[in-house]
Amino acid sequence: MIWTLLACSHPEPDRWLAWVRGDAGYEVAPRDLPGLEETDTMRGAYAVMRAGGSLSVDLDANWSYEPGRPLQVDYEVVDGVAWPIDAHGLLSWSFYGHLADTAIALDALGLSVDAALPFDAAWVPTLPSIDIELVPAENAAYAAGQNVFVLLPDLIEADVPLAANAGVVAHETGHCLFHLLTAGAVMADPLFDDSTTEAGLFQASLHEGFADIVATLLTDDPRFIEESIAMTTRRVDGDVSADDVVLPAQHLQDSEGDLLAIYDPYALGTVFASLAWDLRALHGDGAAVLQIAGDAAEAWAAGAEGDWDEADRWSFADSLVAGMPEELQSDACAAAALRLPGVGLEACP
Amino acid sequence: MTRALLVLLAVAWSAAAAAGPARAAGVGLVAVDLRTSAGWYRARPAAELWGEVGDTWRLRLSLASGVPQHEAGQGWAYAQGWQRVALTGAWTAGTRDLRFRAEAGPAVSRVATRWTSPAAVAVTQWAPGVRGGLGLDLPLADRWSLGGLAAATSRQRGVDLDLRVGASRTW
Repeated sequence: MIWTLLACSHPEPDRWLAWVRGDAGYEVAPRDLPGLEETDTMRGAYAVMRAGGSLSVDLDANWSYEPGRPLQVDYEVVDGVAWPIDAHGLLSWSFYGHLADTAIALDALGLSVDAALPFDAAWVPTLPSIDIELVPAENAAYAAGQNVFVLLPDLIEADVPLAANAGVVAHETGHCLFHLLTAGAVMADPLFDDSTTEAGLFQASLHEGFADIVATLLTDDPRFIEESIAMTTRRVDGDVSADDVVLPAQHLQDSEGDLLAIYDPYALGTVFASLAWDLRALHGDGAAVLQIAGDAAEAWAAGAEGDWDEADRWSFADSLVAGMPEELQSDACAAAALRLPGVGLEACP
Repeated sequence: MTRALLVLLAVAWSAAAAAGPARAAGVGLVAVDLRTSAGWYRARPAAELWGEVGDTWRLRLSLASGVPQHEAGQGWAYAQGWQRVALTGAWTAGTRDLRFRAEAGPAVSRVATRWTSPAAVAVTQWAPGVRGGLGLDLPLADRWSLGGLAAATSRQRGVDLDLRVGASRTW
């Protein structure tokens, strides 16, 4: 009864302390949290946050997710602002805020993730493999097909924790968007679910590339992740090209018989994202280029569905260039030629 | 509040001593408290003082206090302290060389966080709960005992877990 009285007497806040991203960088300040219905259990229109739970995979590579208990942030309200008892509450509200911001921004561009709302966000669930927990850049990951964000403690101390990094949250939401655009439904199987094929590996790179396109264009920051983790290889304003990375076909050839060989989807993904950043520089409107990228993802899926062939490798890039305004086509083709040397795009005869 | 609790302990102690055959014991220190916070467990060192009366059935009044924590990051910083008062009934059984203990009872926790950045804001949370634990006591020489206790205390949002190792003496 005492607990009930205390719970009922807890005033509702109208702002929450969180990391916010401004023109001068990140700061901790009160902000609104759109759609948050229950601060006590972190339940809202954009996410339901949970503690624990588990992600597991069976021998047929079928994933399943068991939700944990509702997250329960300790906090008190002072002058209408919710102040967490400790930094973990700060992290929870930061993540929710960035997630809501991303979903709202995408919706305004006609790239809605409404079908996936509310997301489940699992803090420290049990994972099937310990090595997944040791990849520092994946401490805020989206599990496509299960529609759940997996959030883990940062192994490397950062000024801005990964889960409080607006670009990282946008990147993970970008995975959901790519899945919706290509698989058609939030819980559907991906277009290609065999990671031992060229199609599956290309899809993985497109997933990462598209997610970085969402993150860099929404935040207008080509190095969004470096607020949290030093990862210069993910910069999209560099000069990386397809010649600098191991393409899926090469990987399959090099790793034949080697069960431990792992394909790095980020390398080629960064090439795709860098091309999109080039187009943004030409176009001047990152939102417009993001819309072009959404259309390109759908076009790629429509063309690749069924039998994978050589044309499907670069059709996403082709659609990116083709979606640019006519007066920018020539420059867009020049940019694509630098990023994809020797690749003949239909949009660039 | 601390002074009031110490007075309460002293009164209980005197009453127990006056009761005759009941066994009174005190002193406990050094513990690790794992407090939940938004779903995580974080180990925090703590100190505990307790007074206990009884024999097979015992009554324990304990006051625990965490070592103050200071945390800071980009644009935020705070200092945090916490305390807990628990009144638990314990049942003990065993031999002269080793005693098993099970205890349970009400508890009240207090967490006080003083934010210094981005603004000076003090946040205090009181949380009543129920505490229960299982432990072992190892009698030593000269009425001294060494005891270990694994316990859980419910709070408004979650459960605290703690491991206690303490030395006590009977009179």
